[in-house]
Amino acid sequence: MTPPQPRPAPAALHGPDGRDEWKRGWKHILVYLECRDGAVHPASLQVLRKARELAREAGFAVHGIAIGEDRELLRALLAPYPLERVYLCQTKERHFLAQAHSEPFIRCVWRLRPSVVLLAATPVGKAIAPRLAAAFGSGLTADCTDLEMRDNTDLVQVRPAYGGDVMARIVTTRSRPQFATARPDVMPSQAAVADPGVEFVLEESDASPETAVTLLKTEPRRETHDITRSEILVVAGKGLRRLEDLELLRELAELLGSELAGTRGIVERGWLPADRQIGLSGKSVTPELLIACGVSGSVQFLEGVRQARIIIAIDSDPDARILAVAHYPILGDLYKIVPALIARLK
Amino acid sequence: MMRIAVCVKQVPARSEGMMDPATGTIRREGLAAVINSYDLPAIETALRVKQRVATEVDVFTMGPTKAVAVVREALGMGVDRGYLLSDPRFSGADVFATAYALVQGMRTVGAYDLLVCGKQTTDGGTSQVGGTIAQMLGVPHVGRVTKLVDADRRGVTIVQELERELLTLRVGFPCVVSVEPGIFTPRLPSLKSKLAAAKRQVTILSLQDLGDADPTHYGVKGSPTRVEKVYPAALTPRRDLSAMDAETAADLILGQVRRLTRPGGAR
Amino acid sequence: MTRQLMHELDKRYQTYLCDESRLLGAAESVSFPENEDEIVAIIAEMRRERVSVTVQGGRTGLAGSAVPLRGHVMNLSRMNRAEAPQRREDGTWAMTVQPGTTLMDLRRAIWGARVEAPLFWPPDPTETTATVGGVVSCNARGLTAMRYGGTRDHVEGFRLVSADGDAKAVVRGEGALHPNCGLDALDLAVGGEGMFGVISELTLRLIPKPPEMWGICFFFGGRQSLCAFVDRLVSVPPHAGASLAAMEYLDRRAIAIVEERKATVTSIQGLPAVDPAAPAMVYVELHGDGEEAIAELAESLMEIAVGAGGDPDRAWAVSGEAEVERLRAFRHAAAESANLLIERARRSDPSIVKLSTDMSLPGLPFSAALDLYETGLAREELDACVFGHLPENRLNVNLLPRDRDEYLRGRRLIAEWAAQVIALGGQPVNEHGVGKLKRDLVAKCSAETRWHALRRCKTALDPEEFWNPGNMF
Repeated sequence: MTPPQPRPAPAALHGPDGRDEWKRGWKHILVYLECRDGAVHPASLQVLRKARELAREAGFAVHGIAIGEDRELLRALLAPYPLERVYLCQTKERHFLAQAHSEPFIRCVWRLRPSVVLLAATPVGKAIAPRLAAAFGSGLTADCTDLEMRDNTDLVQVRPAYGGDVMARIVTTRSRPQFATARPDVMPSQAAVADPGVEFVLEESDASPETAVTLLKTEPRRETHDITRSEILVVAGKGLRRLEDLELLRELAELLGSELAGTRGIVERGWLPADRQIGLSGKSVTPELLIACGVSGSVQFLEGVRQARIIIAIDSDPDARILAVAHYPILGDLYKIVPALIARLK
Repeated sequence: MMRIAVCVKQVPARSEGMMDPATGTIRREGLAAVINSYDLPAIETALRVKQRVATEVDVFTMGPTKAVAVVREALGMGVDRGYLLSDPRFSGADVFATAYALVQGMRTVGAYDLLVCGKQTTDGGTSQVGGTIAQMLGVPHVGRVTKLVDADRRGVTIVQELERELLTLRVGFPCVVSVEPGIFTPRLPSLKSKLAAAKRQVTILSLQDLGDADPTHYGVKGSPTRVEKVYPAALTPRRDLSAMDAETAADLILGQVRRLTRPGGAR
Repeated sequence: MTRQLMHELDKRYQTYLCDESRLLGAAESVSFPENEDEIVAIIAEMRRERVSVTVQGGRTGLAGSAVPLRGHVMNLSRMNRAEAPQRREDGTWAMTVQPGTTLMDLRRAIWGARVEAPLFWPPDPTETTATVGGVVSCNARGLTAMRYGGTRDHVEGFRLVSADGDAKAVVRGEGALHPNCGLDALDLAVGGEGMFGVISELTLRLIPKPPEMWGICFFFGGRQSLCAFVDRLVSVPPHAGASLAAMEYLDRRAIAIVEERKATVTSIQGLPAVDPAAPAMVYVELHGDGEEAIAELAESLMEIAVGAGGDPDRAWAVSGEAEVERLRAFRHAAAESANLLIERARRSDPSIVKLSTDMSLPGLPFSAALDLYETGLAREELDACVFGHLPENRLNVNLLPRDRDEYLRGRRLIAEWAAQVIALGGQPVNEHGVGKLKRDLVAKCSAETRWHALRRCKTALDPEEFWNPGNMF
């Protein structure tokens, strides 16, 4: 390896702490618009909407940057969105390579001198963002769940830490641009508008940078059926009377695009395989939403769902432990509620 | 001889949670310090490369003196040499300043062909240090690596997992890779190597040992970002138990589901 | 009474008719008291109606102590409040908890109290959902008794609600519950399996956590070197500043049933695969004041292992509580996996229940203990896994019957072992409790034991079998 050539923060980007005049030299917000498979990534549209909110407060414009091999396609995809200007960069590679995407992006940022650069915290966004921030020696805050703009154009960046137990409020006060990635599916999405009049700028496409990365093969990622990775979980407990009744919950899980899991009791009955068992003697899960159906709420089970964000529990026994713990305890008959829910979802 | 560096971090053990149950505030003191669990598969990956190619594997960390424990843990697993960047002026570093210090630290030792990082840490959890180091070094970085297919003296063949596809990539050295925790089950130190590690020397690097000894490039001073405030995450409020007919209950559940699947309401 | 305390034991409450022994009992009613007054009220009512009471905690017992045979079930899982640890004048620490506090909640409460030095309550039967009341009633000592002593050393006192509806404090050294008993009241109830009343509150002794701990898993190529190692291990003297805190054994079958579940259990998922050729694992924990002292002790263990023909390159060694917990989780998974296999067998024949031992054989070489069990198993052609504590050869043999015939042969075999163990100077029942499954095993002892003393007390104090009918006697 050649001796590293680190680039410390270019002094030109920095201003004295506590004084804000120099920050006026950095204007507008640049949003990375990730396009793939003939569509704009939904997370990019979420970032775009947030960017417009921030820009309104600061009197900034919102510009976009898109990178891909077919610039006409990019133009067509992005034309319906309210953006002042969109920079279109062409790459040779059909597939994503962080370095190849970063180089034109960096050049664009140098020219535009934006106050804020926002990306969605997708795998692609999180691969590009550190390269940008390092190139400018400026601040990067990853996985923001909320963003606000101060009068002096400092971006208030809120992000979770320690696995979500803790929130941190982070600012980049001494340098520009302020780079941030925003966690997908947290913020509302930008809708298409009629005739936004986007100005498209074709970026100079000089030869893609030399890269030591060669793509050998691509294959579609197989869907995993891992209960520890599912956003939503439907959980069956001993309140279920017959094995056939499990089909009801299976149908619900499918309609929700989620996984079906069970308590130790259900797995011990042989109704579900062991890799679907939640609890101390099974898996610890971290879903955003867990729907417990006929789960009594043993110590053993509750230990496995400590990190679930929202627990909805349906049980007919008012004394069931789960009803004392769930965020939404529903005293009711799962044999009536689940079919009603399925009917709605259909 | 080929050389690999692995970057690791000491983090608070948080099996009991970070929040004080009584006061609802964040608790920092009294927490045991452990090696970031995501770093173990990174060490394992480096050792697996070593099984295929003759190479030396070094481990780097930055932290207080007690962070020497994580270096020893890596030594126990079979890493050749350990380096601890430790200086009061390094403390309070953000992603950028951390990456910069690590790059400077590695430079004092020499040039590395391959740098392996874990997916993220269990504390800050930004997963951005690997990419930042790569940009500082001007070398490729491949994140979300789920498989090591091959390794030889010139590079590695790896599988990267993106949202919808798996890319098999050949990456020439020098490069940085960040590995997913599932790539390998990390080995446990053998008794013999653990005992040997306890006696091994760990090189401590302080500011004056680095090529760039300007203190304003490190720690709080060298960090472009500043943490203004840290506070407990809001807990989901609990509703009271209520008896519901099927339709009301279905509405309630559907409402929660929609908040998740239609962005804007969740969290 | 504003709250409904008693519930008819209908379908909803089936869970409270069994425990980890998988024995299924029967009862007419169940209650979930939340404080001592409620216990007193329930007991008074049961006493009036002459209905016997079975007391439950976490229902993690292996001998059926918490399984009701009739009458009323009092489940204490909602009495799970823990007060903050208190430092006493002599510098020691005590903590008052309700009996339904699980070991897990206890640890959290100690941690949450933010006392200066990290503290812990030593009894650790590895099952963290076990309740303090259950652990005390069974006198379950757990993994680290060899360093920290038994459960009774860590109980300061408690409150006991007796059949006359009276709640009183029982403190160490205060004398007998009844003139006929002979035993100190506190000693009577620790390991008393609830035979004399229900514990409504406990005061525990906490001690500082050891500053440093290591966990080591030894693997050996063959049985001979394994046994040679164990026999030397149990006589290793404590070193300055460090000592052996746990010594556990897992045989090949125990390792295999854990390995099978590894992908599905979060707590053991990250551990590497055990060499399939290893015939067994010996797990030891070293606790001490500092890394150096522990490393010295570990060094001497390594020498012993090498001397016995072991390969120290194959032994796993970790340090720090978090890492040690992972190895403990592996050990705990053996017990859990054996229970799971019993449940599977029950699906074909519901009359099958837990068939396991917790006998001790002090003073015998480890190979003699293994021989005793393995000979019987081979003769009867029964599947079993063997794991447990190595001091005094306190092995848990878990039979894994596939059908009723194997189950019955297993029962006979265990009875046979009990007789042999008694003849060899050992105890047929130790820390899992006598409960309902091991009564005939203790009854085989002809010499005077603690059990005989307890029986005399029981006759004097509770002749009508109001408390926990069917347990112990």
